[in-house]
Amino acid sequence: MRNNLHLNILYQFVESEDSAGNNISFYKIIHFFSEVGVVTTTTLKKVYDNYRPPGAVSDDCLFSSLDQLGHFAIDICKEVSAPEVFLLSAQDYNIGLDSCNDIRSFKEIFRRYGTSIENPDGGHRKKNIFGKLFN
Amino acid sequence: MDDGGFLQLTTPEVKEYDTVFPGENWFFYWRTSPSLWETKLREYQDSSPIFVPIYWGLHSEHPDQFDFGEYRPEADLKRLFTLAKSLGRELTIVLPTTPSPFLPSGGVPAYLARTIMMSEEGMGVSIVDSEGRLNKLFSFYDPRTFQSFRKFTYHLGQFITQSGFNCEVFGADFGYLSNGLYKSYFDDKSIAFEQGFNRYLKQIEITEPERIEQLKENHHLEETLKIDYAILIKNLYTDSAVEAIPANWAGVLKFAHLGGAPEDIFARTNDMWEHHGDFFKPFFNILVNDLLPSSVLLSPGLKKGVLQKALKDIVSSSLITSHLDNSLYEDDLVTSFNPLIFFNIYVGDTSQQKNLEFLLNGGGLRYYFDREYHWMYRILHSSFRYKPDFDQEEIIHFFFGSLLTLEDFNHVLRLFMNGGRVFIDIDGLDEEISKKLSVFLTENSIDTEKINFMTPIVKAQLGEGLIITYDNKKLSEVGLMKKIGFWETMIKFLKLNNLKVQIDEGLYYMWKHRSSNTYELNYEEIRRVSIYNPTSYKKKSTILSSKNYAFLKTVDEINAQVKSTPIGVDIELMPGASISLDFGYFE
Repeated sequence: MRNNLHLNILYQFVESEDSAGNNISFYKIIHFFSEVGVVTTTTLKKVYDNYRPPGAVSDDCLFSSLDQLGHFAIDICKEVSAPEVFLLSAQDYNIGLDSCNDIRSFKEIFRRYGTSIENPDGGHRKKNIFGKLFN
Repeated sequence: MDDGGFLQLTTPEVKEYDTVFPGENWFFYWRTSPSLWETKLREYQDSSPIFVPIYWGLHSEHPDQFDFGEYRPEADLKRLFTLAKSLGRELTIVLPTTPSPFLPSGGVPAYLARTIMMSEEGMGVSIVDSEGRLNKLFSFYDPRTFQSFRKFTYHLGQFITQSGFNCEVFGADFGYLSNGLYKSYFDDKSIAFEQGFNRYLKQIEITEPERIEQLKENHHLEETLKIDYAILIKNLYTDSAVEAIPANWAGVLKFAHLGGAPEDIFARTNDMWEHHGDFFKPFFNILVNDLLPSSVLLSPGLKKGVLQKALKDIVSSSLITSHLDNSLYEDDLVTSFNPLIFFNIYVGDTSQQKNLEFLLNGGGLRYYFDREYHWMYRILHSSFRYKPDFDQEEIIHFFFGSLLTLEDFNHVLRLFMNGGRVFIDIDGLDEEISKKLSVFLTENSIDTEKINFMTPIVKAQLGEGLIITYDNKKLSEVGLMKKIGFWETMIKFLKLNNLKVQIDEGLYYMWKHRSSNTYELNYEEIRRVSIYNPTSYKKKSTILSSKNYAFLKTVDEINAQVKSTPIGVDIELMPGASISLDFGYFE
């Protein structure tokens, strides 16, 4: 059983308008995965429920600040006992993509250009990581 | 077939995978030495035309320089076509009018690889090809790219005319499926697109100032204008190709690439993640979307076994020919099997429209079809035009009011008058069309029936012709089970006839049909169900008996066992198994 899977979060900074025409901005998770597959929506929903703004109906994971996104990433790490998560913005992803030409260098993008957040619990407590993470 | 005087002692073996023939009749001439073109063409055994995509970047290494074999043998298209002709092979030129995911830089010359394409989420678009290379795609909205494309197509057209090629030239709109819907590689949110869109707005400000005023009041209009701009630029590329190659131009084909969605890159760069079974659903979805599937991005390892078998079974020469002939109905091709389709859903050219998801799923239509008529419906990304040779008896046509133009509607009425069966969602239907429908029904004294069943329904019947109107928005407000109940009732009324298939999770199946031949005169037609097990487990399926069907035979059994029972035919499929079963259908 593997319990050393690294998680990757790719997020986007979005500037938009609310229904009243006010400018709003937020961070939106666009991809969340490890080397064996995407993180299930069940896991995401469970952890995101603590961050969901009251009245929000969308399934999207949106955060008002990077700090909040970082806390969410730690909570996910704890939930699935992952040792580490790499946070990468779409902008930095594109900088990384620009410099890679093959799969090997592509795989390094999150590690090289992302921000690493370690699981304070170490990430080796729960054994059934596959069951918790993936379909 | 002319063998060019070459004596063959053994039957050439058709290879499961070839880097030059990577699948579905594609010939990648740049992937081998020109000295091997003849050998490769000899190996090709299929009778249907060979697609030769034009690699723009190969023929134009420097601005304003074009090489079709004058300088380098690998660019010598004339030699390639002469060779093919001498071997009796039919080549069809495919000229990409969008970025090509299987080519470095998407096929554009290196001097144009400037602005990388962007997905809606702001991610640079890069696609993994069958050999594990990362192909970055570059924006077609850069004006320099368009100017160069125009020059290139002009020179290509000159070359084709001077060489005397009489082959057809198809434009290729390459794309992929995302959430089950087609997206073109032309769609792009890069800075090049935004800059072009701003120039477009300035132009509109001069020609249609009232639209800019509306934009200030309604910001949602910007999305509509962006779609208009994207369509305009896409058409410019196609038009310049048509202008340059008028005599050989045969239309635009839409190809959807398996493994070609921008977000697929994460799965495709992780060996532990990607599995050949993952491609069945998108593959069948591509067929349902009436697109030509392409597996050229998939590695040989992924295409082994049951997926390869399904690709060969379904992407048959008849399916390709039907697309090349631009015939909506494949039923004319009586000698070969074609997908059995009961429903056509018309969505216009709306690959960028965000409300498509709501139209298809809001009222539960697609959910119901996926549940009860798996892969037996088709989403058509085109306007509706009635043709007198429509085989309208079998197919039920669905239209959404918000997408229906007056011209489409006139054709819908012609279809109805000729016995066609039609569903129209009245939500968003243009008032003029709505009025025209009422006047048409009254003036022609057509019997109508009004019912309230979750939504107001109007049923109009004239002989075999049937129009049912309903309100998708109203239907979207009820629960999922009620939506299913609604469609179950509606479809039951149409008395469609097909065998029921019970199937374990993880199995995929598709129905095909063909007319009966002289040895099968007891039957109206022959229906074939092909079942595939891409999983690592033994699975079961049952095809339930029905009074109008006779089980005829099994075909191409691989690791599958069949047993007839009083209730139908039981099939056991081992991991990687596949099987087809033929049934005769009689009235």
